[in-house]
Amino acid sequence: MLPGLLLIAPALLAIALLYVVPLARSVIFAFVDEGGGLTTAHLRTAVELYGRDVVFTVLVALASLILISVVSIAIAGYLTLGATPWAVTALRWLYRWPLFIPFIVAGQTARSFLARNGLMNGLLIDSGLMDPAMAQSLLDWRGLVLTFAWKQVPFVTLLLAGAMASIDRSTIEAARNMGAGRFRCLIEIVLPQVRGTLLVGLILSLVTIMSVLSVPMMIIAGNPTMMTSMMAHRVTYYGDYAVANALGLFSYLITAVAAYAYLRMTLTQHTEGAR
Amino acid sequence: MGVEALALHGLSIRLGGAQILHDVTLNVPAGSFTCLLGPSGCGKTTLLRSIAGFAPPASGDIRLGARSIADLPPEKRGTAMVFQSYALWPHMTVAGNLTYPLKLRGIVRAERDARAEALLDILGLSGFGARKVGSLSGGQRQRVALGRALIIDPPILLLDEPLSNLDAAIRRNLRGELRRLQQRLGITTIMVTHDQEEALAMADTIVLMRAGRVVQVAAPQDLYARPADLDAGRFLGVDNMLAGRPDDPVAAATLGFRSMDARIHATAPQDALVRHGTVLDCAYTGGGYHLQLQSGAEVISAVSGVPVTPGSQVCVAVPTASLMAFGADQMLLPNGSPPIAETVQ
Ligand SMILES: Nc1ncnc2c1ncn2[C@@H]1O[C@H](COP(=O)(O)OP(=O)(O)O)[C@@H](O)[C@H]1O
Ligand SMILES: [Mg+2]
Repeated sequence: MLPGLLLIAPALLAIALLYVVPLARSVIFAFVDEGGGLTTAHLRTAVELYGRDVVFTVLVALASLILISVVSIAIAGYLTLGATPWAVTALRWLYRWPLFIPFIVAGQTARSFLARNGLMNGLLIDSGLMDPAMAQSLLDWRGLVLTFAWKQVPFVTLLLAGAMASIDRSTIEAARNMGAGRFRCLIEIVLPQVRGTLLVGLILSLVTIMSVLSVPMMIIAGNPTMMTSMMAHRVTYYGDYAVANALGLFSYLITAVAAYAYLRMTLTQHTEGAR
Repeated sequence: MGVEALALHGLSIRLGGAQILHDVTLNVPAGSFTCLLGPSGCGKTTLLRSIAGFAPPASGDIRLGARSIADLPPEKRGTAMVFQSYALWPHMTVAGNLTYPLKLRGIVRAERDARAEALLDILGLSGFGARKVGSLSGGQRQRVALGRALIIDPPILLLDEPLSNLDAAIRRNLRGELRRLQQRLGITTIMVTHDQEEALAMADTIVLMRAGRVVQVAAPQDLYARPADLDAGRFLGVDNMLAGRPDDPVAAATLGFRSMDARIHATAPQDALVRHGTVLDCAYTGGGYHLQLQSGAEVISAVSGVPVTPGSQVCVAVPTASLMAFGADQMLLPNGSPPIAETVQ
């Protein structure tokens, strides 16, 4: 009993000091007024001032996750089922690059790439694919979604391609033998066998998206914007930790929903495995 | 789709820089049961996979009925393969596994379910439709894999060691069951096995393979009585290979026979291969005794109905009809007295 307790004590202590205490503190401070009494005023202020930003954040996060899923499934699927060896090898080398680029650099690059007279529009106009009058800036929710996806796709693909590589290859061959083309094989045979891994990748991406400050700061100037941006604003300009904490509460809630979905799924998988 | 014949012409396969199959030519008549037999690693699975479209040929052609399928992707070939590991889809139920091939063919749900139900009956798995495949025993999985292959009514059935993962008793049962099912459906079937007993018991025709080549194609009885060369003989249980002598009843460089055909005699009989030797060892094997004899430089395996004391001198004889005569090039000599074999290549 005692040796076991001693062994896990450092880990427990680290979790308590670095995670639980700050979390509890910020949750409590979101509900405490100057006098020390309980209040929901901060929460109401947060909703009043930043309700639109909360909704915006949720929508941007969802759109990003959808884009991330589609692109990572496509890349990982091609790495698993692709028939052209050189293309598979090339893709395997290329897709990981954004992993090594910091978010702040990604934000900056996206800014110069997606602006009205940015690199992308320049290329499109020069190549005659777009009328200069049509050029518009993508530095709004679309820029956020594209940047988040660009940064997170390699990570999710890495997880997903690993999981796909470790499923029983003969289950894929059996499906093709029975008449399934590559695409149906990916959607109906491969994907269902790795959906747990996909979910983990998406949940971790969601947490990242909910916590990155540099990208919204870089890409979006006005309102509405991501909650991280607003929380930083509240703290740096007004020194208002209480409302910032109330906003943080929404972040916790959103990630908690994801965590619940994840836990429930792993739990059902465990009971199924035990049967 | 009806039952169709399969033909391989000069098929060669390279994988990872190594030549796995060398110039394989083979005709499998429609409706027949053909076994690919050979030691592990000789290329049986590769041959089966190339028919299904998972191992692209370096040269040669594969024809199913009148059409060449060598250039088609696996999903267009219409072959039905049962994998050695069964390869059931773990995220689907038993019924889901059976009906997925029908779903791929655009068959409506009601008919899919009805056909799966009927097939489960045939397979002796009624009531298992809603079970997860993970909860099935090895034999049940094997049946589901077979059912999944048969539900599309394929022109040809490919089985990769379908019985090798099962217990001996279940294996013997399923052997007969599989054979009867094949005969009832009349489906062209190619089965891979490394078990000669299984091949002899089930096949119409056995294709004996070695190191990526077809060594012999023959009916089970012919293959058993007249293996094409020394190695084929050894693989088929010819455990005695003796150097021929001038006074032997059959002229040959090497004479082969099975120990069960070699018996102990008090006096040398007529019309038989005769050797004298010292008993090295005598072991009880159930019905009788198995002997090891030292005869000159050679060791002979033989059987006896009664125990023989080690060290005693005996006379062992093999009827001429049970002898296999091999030439100096290790190939079977053509003038043997056992049944006429059709020896290919
Ligand atoms: N994908 C592959 N790449 C390279 N060599 C392979 C591959 N698959 C099989 N082989 C080799 O081909 C030979 C025949 O394999 P296989 O057809 O599985 O034999 P069998 O089924 O008769 O046991 C073996 O030596 C094996 O190592
Ligand atoms: Mg094999």
